[in-house]
Amino acid sequence: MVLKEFHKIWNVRTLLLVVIVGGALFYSWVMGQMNLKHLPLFETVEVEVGTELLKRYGTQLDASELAQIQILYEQAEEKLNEVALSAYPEIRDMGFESYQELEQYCTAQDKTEEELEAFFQTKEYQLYEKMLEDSTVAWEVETCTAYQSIITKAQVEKEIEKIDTVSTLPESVQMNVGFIIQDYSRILLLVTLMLVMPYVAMENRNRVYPIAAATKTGRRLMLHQIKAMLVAVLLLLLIFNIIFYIVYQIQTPYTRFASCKAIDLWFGWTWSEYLFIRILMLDVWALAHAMVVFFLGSFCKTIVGTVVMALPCWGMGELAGLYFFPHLFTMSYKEYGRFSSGIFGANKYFPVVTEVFVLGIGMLLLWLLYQRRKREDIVE
Amino acid sequence: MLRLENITKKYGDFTAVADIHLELEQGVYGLLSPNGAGKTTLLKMIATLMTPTSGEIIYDGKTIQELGEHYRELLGYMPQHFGYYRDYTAVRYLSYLAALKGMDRKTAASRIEELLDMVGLADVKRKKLKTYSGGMLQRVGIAQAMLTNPKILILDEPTAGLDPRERARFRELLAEFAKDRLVLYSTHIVSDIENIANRIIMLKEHQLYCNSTVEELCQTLEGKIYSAYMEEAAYKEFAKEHFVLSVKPERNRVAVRFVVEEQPESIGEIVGKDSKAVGCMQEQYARDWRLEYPNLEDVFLYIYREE
Repeated sequence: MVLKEFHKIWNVRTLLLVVIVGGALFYSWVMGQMNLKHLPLFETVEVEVGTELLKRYGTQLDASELAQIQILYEQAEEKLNEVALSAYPEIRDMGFESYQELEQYCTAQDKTEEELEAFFQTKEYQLYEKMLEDSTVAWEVETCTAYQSIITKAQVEKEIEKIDTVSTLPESVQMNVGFIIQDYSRILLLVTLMLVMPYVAMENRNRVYPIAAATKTGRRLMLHQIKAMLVAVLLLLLIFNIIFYIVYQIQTPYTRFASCKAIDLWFGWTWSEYLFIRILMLDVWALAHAMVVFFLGSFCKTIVGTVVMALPCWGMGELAGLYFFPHLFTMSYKEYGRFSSGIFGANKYFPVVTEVFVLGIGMLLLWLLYQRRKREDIVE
Repeated sequence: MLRLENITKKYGDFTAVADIHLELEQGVYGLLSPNGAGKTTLLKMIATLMTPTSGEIIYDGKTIQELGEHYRELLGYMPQHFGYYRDYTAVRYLSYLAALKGMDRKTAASRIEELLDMVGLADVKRKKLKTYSGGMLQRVGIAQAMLTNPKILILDEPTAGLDPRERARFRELLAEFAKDRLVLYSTHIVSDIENIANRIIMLKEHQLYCNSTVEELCQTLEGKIYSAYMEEAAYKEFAKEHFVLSVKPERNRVAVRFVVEEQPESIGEIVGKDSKAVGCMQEQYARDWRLEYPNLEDVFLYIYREE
C-alpha cells in the first residue's frame, strides 16, 4: 500500500515540476551567493587571510599566536601605507604623513550634515574615495580590517566568554554560510510543499477515503499515506542534499575551514560537524513541515482551501526554519541577553526553552486535531 | 446475521434516523424511501462510516465496532457518490481498492478481469476513468463493491445513471450474486428492486415504516387500486378528491390509476358515492373502469403520498 501511495506522489508530472522549480532556484542561488566570483572583496580577503592563518597556526589561535597577529596587523598597515603613498604621492602634498592620517581625517565624526555636504567636495575626500575604488589599495585596506577583526574578536572572547583562544574560521564565512543555509532551507520547504500539496489536493478532490474506510485496511490508509509521503520527501531531500554538498565542495572556498571550531557554538563542534547537523536538522524540519501540510491539508475540502492553508504553513515553516535552528545553535549572552527579561532574568536558555515550548504546543494541537478527526464520522 | 438494535443518529437537534430495529438475514433487502428519509445515513452506519448516536449494530453476536477490520473484511460498499482517481484506469483503480481490501495481487488480478467482464467494461479497462461516462463509472463502483465476494453488500443508489439495458443487466448480476449473501440495496427507483428484493424496508419520517415482502406490501392495497379513462377536464375535478397514482394522456382522454380507500362492492358504488365525480364521468367510458392488482410503485406512492 505504501508503494502504491508513493507512486501517487512520486509521479512524473509532480517530479518534473519540483525538479524544474527547485533546480531553477538552486541554480540562481549557486550562481549568486555561493559563487566565489560573487563574493564581496572584504570576504575574499578574509578568506585569504584565514587560509594563510590556518596554514601557519592551525584551527585555533592561542595567546602567543594572537600576539603575532598584532604584528601581522601592523605589517599590513605599513604595507597599505607604502602601496597608497607610492600610487598616490599627492597624499603628502596635501599635508598628510600617511594613508592612515588621511583616512582618520576623512572618517572623523565631527561634522554636521551641512558641513559634510561641503566636505564631500573637498580634494582630500575625493582622493580618499578614489583610493578606495582602487583594487590594489582596497585589497590592502581589507587585509588590515581582517586582522583587526580577529584582534577585536579575541578581545570579546576574552572579556565575555573568558576564552583565550580564537577560531581561525573567519566570521564572514560563518555569516555567509548562515545566509546560504537560510536560502537552502527556503528551497527545501518550497519543494517539499510542491511535492506534498498536489498529493493532498488530489486526495481531497477525489475523496476516495469514504470508500476506503469501509474496507479491511482502509482505516490505515492515512498512515500509509503519511509513510509514503515521508519516504518521497526523504528521497527528494537526499537528492537536494547531494546537490548541495557537491556545489558546496566545488563552488566555495569554505571547505578549507572544515576542521575549525565554529564560533559561539555548542559542544565544541567543528565547522563541518556544525554544517552537517544544521543540514540534518533542516531535513527533519522539512519532514515535519511536510507532515503539517499533509495533515492540515487533509481537513480542507477543496484545492483552493488546501493552497490557502498550505501557504501560511510554508511561511510559518520558513520563519521557524530560518530562526529556530540558528537560535538553537548560537546561544550566548552576547546575542541573546537582550531577549531575556522579566521573571526569567538573564537566562541564556530562555529563547530555546520558548521555542521548544511553542513547538511542543503546536505538536500537541496537531495530536488533538488528529484524535478529534478519528472520532468524527467519515463523510463523502 | 446482522441485527440493528434501536439505532438512532442525531446531528445536533436533527434526527436523521430514529430508533430503528431490524434483523437482517441472507437475501436482498430493498431500502426504499424518498430522498432525505435517512437511507444513506442508515447504510453508512452499517458500513461503519458513521457511529450511531445510540443503539448497536450486531453481527454474529458482536458489535461491528468490536469486530472492526474483521467486519469490514466481509463488507462490500458502494456509496451514492463514490470517489475515484481521474487519472487511473479501471484496472489500476480496482487493484488499488483490492489492496486496501487485503486481497493478494494474483487473486485480485483475476477477480478484476472477471468483474470488468461481468459489468461490461472489459473493452475499456485500460482507459482512464476521466474518459468514462456516468454509467460506466457507476459500473466501476459496482465492481469494486463486489471485489472480495463480500458476505454483506451495501449498495446506495447503484443504478443512478445507468440506462435501462444496464439496469436490467445489473439486476441479473445481483440476483446471481445475492445467493448466500446479505445485500442491502437502497434506491428510490421502485422497479429496480421489485423483482429481486426478498424484503422491502421502508423508512418514513426517519423511522422504520415497514419490513415486509413485496407481496405483503401489495396486499395492503388490494381492492383499492382502480384505473379508468376520463376526459382531461373531468380528470382535473376527479384528482381533487382522489389520490391519483398515475396519469397517461391518450388522444382526447387520460388513463388514470388511482386509490379508493374503502373497498366498494361495485364500480357503480364509487360513482354513486361521489356525486362530483359522477358528473365528470363519461358514460361511454364506464365500461373501462376496472379494479387493478397493486404493484410496489403503487404502495410506494401511497405510503409517501404526503411527502
